[in-house]
Amino acid sequence: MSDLDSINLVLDTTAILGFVRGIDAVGEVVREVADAGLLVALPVTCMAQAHQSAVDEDLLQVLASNPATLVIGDEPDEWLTLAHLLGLVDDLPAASAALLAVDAGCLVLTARPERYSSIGSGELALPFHG
Amino acid sequence: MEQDASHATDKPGTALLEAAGMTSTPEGRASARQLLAEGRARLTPEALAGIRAQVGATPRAA
Repeated sequence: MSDLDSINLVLDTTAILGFVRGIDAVGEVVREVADAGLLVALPVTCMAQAHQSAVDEDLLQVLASNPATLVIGDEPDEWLTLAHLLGLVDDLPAASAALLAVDAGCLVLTARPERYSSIGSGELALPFHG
Repeated sequence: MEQDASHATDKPGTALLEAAGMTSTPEGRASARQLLAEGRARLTPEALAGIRAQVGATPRAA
């Protein structure tokens, strides 16, 4: 079984920043998934993008180093699917998050659900407020 | 300390929140469960298949 099989939630850049900024809605959803023994995926590009805005690198490290999270990159042989997703969301980190979610068959936690509205009918997005 | 170590192993999400200085509440947990349930209900196998077809994703082997 690959790590992908255990991924149950993907955090995009907005969700990663939400965690770092202590937004309860993000923390509780992450806790719910992680305590169930499932993995929360952190796309490499989203982590890098979050780092540009995060004021606390230590909290990014806390998130990335937890056994229930997995920092993961795009698969090279999925470049064409990534390109199709990029055309729909117009943001490479968001496209990476969507690709992971499509592969794992799970949701993307996001503060920007409209960004994913052109993928299907927007079903991939799990919106949070805060 | 042993209790903390066991806690981190058994409840990695709770341990993560504590490490980040966040607290979990019954109301927060209930809200998170509801949000996840609603999201998972929207992302049906049919919806996921449609998305995979739309973006040219190859379904992963079981």
